[in-house]
Amino acid sequence: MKYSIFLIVAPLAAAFTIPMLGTYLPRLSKLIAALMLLAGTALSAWLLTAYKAQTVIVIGGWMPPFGISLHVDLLSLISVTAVYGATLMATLYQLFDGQEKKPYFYMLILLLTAALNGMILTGDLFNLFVFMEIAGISSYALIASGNGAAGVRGALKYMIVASLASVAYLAAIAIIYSTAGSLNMATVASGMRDLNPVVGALVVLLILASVFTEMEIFPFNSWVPSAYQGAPSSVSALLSGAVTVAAAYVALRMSYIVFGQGMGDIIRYGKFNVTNILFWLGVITVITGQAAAYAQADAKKMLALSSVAQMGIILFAISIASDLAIYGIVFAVIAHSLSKLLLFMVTGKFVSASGTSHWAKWKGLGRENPLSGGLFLIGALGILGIPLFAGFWGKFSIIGAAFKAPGVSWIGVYIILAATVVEAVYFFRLAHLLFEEPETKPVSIKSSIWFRISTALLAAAIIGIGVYPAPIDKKVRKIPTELSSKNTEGYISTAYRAMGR
Amino acid sequence: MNNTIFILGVGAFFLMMIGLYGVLTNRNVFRLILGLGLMETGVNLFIVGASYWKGGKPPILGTVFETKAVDSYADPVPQALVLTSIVIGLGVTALALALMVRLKETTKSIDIIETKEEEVNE
Repeated sequence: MKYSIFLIVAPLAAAFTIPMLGTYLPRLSKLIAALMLLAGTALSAWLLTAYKAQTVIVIGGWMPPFGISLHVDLLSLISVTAVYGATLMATLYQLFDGQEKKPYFYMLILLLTAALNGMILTGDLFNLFVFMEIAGISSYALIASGNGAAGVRGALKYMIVASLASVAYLAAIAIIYSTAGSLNMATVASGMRDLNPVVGALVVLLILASVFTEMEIFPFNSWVPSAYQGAPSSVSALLSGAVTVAAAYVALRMSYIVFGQGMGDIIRYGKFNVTNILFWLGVITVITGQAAAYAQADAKKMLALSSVAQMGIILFAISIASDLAIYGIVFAVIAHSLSKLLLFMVTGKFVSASGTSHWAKWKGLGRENPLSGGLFLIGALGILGIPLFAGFWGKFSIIGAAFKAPGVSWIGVYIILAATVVEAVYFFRLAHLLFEEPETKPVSIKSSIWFRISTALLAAAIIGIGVYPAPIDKKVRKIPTELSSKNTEGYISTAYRAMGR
Repeated sequence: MNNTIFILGVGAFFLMMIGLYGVLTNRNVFRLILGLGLMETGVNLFIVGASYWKGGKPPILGTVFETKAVDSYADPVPQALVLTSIVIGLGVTALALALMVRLKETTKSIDIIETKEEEVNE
């Protein structure tokens, strides 16, 4: 487990070799980026299989709560593996099938990977802020790197919303530090419980607001359509396949461990019930996301808004807070990441072949290119949660958990099911158009061997998890017990053991 | 109420609110960036103010401030946090201005809201 630090440090170090090498040896620097991501994927997968128990890694000999520590648990390793895998796929797509980019592009991708892994692994609130800012800065630059004015505009919109969010986060940090006296997550978690309820609720809302900005939750998601549309397709795939994974993990950790009273309990400060707010935000995000996606004429914006709706479902599941819901969240996040990667890679091909992202002009593209059309269909089925595809297990468990939960959670079930119908309508509308008989012969798509390999892997993973989830299921079943702080092996007790208390 | 904390708190609050007003009411990217800058300054002031106490000495060894009583030092952590956040704020502002220049070059305008639909080809 002590090698976990390399998950953050190695891409950071590799990122800064690129500007040095890039000027004279651009091809070598691109190779370094790809090899780094491959090595990271392998390392995180190895750590995941070798995983035994939660560990706190003390960095630089500074003991927590004064120094910064990393906290490795099963869910964080799964998320890190997903982030690395997604980044590797998106990078290969950009290298072999996207437009030619300068080496700096790959430096930004490595920086983003390091920052996302840092967000997932860190055990310190201010460190989390720094990693969120690094992730933000590198994603603004990545979004602005393509599509001329659209990319720059998307990046600016994201930057303005995210900067507001970071001001909120900093204000919350000032309050937390002056009351709890530390920014270590475990210390804060035990300190939050004695806080004045009004202040506690304020802090929770400020921090969750900034996490929700990255997680694309209503009303903090106004940047999403422009940023996804303006970004090069590989970057849209990254935003959807990697950034949301990290953001969902942070939201989970914040609501259950730092601010919750242990998993399964309601996050409540005095009369103020934060779980209710999470529930309604999740439900509203699902409704607005799916409705807006249905009305979109632009395929990339449509996929972006479908991501928003999926994140709404995950927030809804966070508000249920039962073992089954957590189990569903993990599956839903993984399935969403895999399917959206595949969808954005295929959509990127359609956009660059047809020269437009308006899906109405893609009539017959799938008939002409059955491989891409079929892959689009698999991605769509994976998102929708049709049985035998990856998304099914997530949605199935979340809906099951919602029916068992007390209170008003059952309302969410009907809203999610209705929203899924809307989602099916707009995905199948586009898929049908792709396979219609066109008036003029559509362009045929050229793809590299890497595109075929990586999309085949993604499609195989989507169907594989859908048909035979047992290998992942065995790991995921342990996560709810680990997240619970009542458990002796839980987060806070592990962190306190590392502090020697 | 301690006078200094009051001034720091009120100043931080109003700086944040002025910045927020600027961000919410403008479409001009330059003014948006200015508003964000004001908000960041306000929140930095807030962090410093939250850790202020009367008579706290600068936590620097080997100076005239050095004392045996550790209790009389001001807490250095919030100041380190503010330093980090100032540096991050500088980076973000620089990148935002660079993006604004790019927007001006490509669209001849620095309005954040697009007037006509923009082409996407990758």
